[in-house]
Amino acid sequence: MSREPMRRTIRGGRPYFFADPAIDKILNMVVVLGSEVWTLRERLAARLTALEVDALLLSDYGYGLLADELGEVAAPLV
Amino acid sequence: MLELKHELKLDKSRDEKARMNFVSGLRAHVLNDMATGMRAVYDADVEPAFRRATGRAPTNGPEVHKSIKANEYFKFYSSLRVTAQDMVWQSVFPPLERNRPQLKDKAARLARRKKFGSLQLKEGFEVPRYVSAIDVHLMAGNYDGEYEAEDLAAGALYDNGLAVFSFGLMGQNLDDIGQSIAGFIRLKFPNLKPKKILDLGCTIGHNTGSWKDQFPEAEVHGIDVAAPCLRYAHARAQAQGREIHFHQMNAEQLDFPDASFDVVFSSMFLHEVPKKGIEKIIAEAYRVLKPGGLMLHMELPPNGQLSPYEAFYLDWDSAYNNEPFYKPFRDLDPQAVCARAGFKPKNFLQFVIPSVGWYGEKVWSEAATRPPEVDSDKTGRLTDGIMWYCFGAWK
Repeated sequence: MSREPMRRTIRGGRPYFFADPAIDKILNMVVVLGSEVWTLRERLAARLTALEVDALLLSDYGYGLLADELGEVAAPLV
Repeated sequence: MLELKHELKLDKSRDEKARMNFVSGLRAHVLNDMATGMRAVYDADVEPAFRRATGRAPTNGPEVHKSIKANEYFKFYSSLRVTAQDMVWQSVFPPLERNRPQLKDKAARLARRKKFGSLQLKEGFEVPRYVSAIDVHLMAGNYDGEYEAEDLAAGALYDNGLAVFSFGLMGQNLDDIGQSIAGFIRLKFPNLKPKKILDLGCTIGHNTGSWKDQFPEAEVHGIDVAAPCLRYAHARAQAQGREIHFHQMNAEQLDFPDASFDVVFSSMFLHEVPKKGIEKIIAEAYRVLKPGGLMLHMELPPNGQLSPYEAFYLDWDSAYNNEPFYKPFRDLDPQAVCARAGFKPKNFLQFVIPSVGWYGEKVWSEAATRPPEVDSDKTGRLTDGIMWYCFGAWK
């Protein structure tokens, strides 16, 4: 038996709750997009931390506050 | 998101870890904040509307479900919860797919190490339809999906998915259920010195190992129908240095002789089995137990012990999370099921056991000194204050 990709779709599909399933689908899309925004913020926080950009340089570009916020985001990552 | 601590842990990119963190956070938001919000909406709007229409309060879970289905908050809660559940598994697939060759190599290396336990699979084993035909809790491929020879990927999907799913509430080794219950039993019944312990429907053995930890002198066995989970369970136990013997068997028809175990246990297993199967499993547990032995099942609490709203809340999974046997199981009377299998009614027992991880050793161990507690609104829910429900009987 050769190696096949794992099946990622659910047999029978997912349940829908709104009268128009398009609402469930859009909600799903928004959440997945939210996940990618979160992922990008974590990546940005990691890059800023790794660069050890000093507060002066960041403030020159208006990123000082952002770096503080992102520092909290990066903290829980292992 | 919880990081697995053993050698089968997947190598993940920072982005993959971030996606998993997001899903854990989303689940915590839906199951804590939104669940609280939905209850408030029910109390303020849905229940009063039901009273106005019928002149009485709802008397059971299905009535609550019917009355809340049209509510917008319920729809958002449910739709987001399904999305979060699907994202649990979808967050694991990319790193798992990439790691599959290395995972097999690691398992092979672990198998060559000093043997702690054993693994017995059966050629041509027939997996029951209630496992092979559905993707339980929206987990594509279920426990038994195989995509190559000697595959263990489904076990890895479950282990890593559970780490995301549980947002830390099932312990660092995903064994809070096992540790809380096996330890509680050791404290509660100090004269119980089991020589042989059996875990039914053990999947990846994450709770089986706790019995070996709590009763190191005992011979511990775990059975399941799903070969990929058992291969993974064996490798996981090898990685953690736990001597556990895994067998591919159907709990409805065990290969073990009569009166061969001192403890027969299961956790989160019976609610994934149809009622007929549950009756057979309890009867088999009775058969393989020694006289004086203990059967114990950790499960979701019976509907008969919950308020109509709590019954509806837990039965949500049956309606929307591919858990078709969840509500039928919870509608059963555990004491009656045990009696039909041959256990004497006076030997029936049930507990709600505080999670040792959540409450800490002091509260948890003190609970073992008190009379058994049941009927708690915290029972079996992944939210503030976790209590694990168990029922069983002495033979």
